[in-house]
Amino acid sequence: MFEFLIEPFTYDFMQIAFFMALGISVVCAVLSCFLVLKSYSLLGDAMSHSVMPGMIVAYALGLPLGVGAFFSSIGCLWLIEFLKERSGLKSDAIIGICFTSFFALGLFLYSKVDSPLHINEILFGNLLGVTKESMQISLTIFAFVLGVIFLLFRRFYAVFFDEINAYIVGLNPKKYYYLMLLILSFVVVFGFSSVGVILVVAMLILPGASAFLLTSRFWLMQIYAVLLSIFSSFVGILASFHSDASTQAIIVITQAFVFVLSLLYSKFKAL
Amino acid sequence: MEWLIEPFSYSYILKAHLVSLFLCSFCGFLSCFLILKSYSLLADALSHSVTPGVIIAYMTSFSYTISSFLCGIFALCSMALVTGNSKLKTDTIIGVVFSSFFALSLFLVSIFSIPIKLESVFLGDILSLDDGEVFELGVLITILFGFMILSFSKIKFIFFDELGASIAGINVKLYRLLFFMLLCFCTVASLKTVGAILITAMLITPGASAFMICKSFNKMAILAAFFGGFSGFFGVYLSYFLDTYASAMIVLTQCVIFIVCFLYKRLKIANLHFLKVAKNV
Repeated sequence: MFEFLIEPFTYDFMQIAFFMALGISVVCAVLSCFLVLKSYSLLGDAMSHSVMPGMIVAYALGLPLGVGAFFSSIGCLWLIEFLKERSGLKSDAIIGICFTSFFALGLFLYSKVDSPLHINEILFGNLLGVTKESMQISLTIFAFVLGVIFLLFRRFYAVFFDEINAYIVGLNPKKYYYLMLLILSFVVVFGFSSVGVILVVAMLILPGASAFLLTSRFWLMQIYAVLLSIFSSFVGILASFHSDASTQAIIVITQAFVFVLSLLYSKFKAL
Repeated sequence: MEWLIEPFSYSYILKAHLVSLFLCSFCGFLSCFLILKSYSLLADALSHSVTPGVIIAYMTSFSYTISSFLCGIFALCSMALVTGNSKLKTDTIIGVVFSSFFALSLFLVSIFSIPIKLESVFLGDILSLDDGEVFELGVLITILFGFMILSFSKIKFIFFDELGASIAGINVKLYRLLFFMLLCFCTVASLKTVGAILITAMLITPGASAFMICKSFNKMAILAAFFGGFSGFFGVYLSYFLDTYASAMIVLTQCVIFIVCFLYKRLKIANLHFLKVAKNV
């Protein structure tokens, strides 16, 4: 039994994958609590799909891929804000138009530029193929992001819960929203190479949604979400090692399973 | 000039043009309804949710259309179920359901090591349609179009004024259910053409472009269907010459149309403003 639990961690690449999974899922869990509150969930979807053109252009120019991906997702966000003010369309339609256009552009560039990137890795991620250096860089970024959120936690809390009140006490809500979106794009950029553009969205929604069902206190919700994400990355690594299935898929399926359990729990509690 | 019609001399490319033309124009038509009701991201969710159906169809060699359709319906039902039983916001629920379904399909592919190119499900592979599939799609689109045209006024009534429609004696629930089933069929049909990720664009962008330059819904629907059809045809045509993904070119064409419509609208506003100022002077 003990051997079963410990065996995956005797391999170097499994250790790296575990730390990477832990890092990304914890930072996503913390963010997801904020996103779930504000109906920003699908903005994460948009940002993760929009990184593609930037990456290809960055490769063609010889820049680090992360830089291109970052500017690309910021560009998509800017475009969404720009159209929101001027087009008279609803925001969900605008988000849909922007990210699909970016993704289509990325796909076009991908087919024209001969890069070492593989479309499968962009879409579905490859947690087991993460190198030690990129893990270290990503974890540093994640630690930095967590630090920023921790330091500004009370302010974000104030702004996300009660915008008007926050404004009265002298905070600028817009500034904090943009900061949150900036953080989100950092996480998406450094996360999608390991879990893929689609599953990073799952990680940005599921833990927060499950925790939301379990408690009505925000700090407790944060703690539940983080615990859930740690649990699911552990299960993901173990189960994928022993069953030879995709690690990131199992992590998300575990999170979905916990979501169903917490839904049932909240239902029974209400009865 | 010969090179301009060169793509049409290959039967499989001609087929791709026709399928894409009709499919995209139908999607454009539907997009008007989705734009009105902020259902846009439901289309995104649905397109990711039907993918386990595709994988299961490969595993069991069952009909691909039916299994992915059932999968989409299942996803819709679970969204409705969660909405009824929790206080979570709609967009969160949509996100939860579609990403879980997507993870399921990735899991199935990796654990059963199925020889399927998952990226072709997500990015589309229009040139690989065989005659049977073209026939199936043709029948499907005809039925869907027929249904939409017959019940156009009713669905329009429901989307604009639900209460009024139910007072007028229209079965709102039934028609809404039918509409969602239709959307689901449409997503399944488009999976082969443009792939799961870019279906979203087909179901949003034409409607949004038409919305900006039309005031009447009927005109908007016709224009959106035209935009969709044009981009479907022209996208495949361009992709032949540029040697790239047809889905990407379809969406980029729609994006260009959107930009043109947006500029047209801005110019019109600027013009009106100018006229007003001129009158006052």
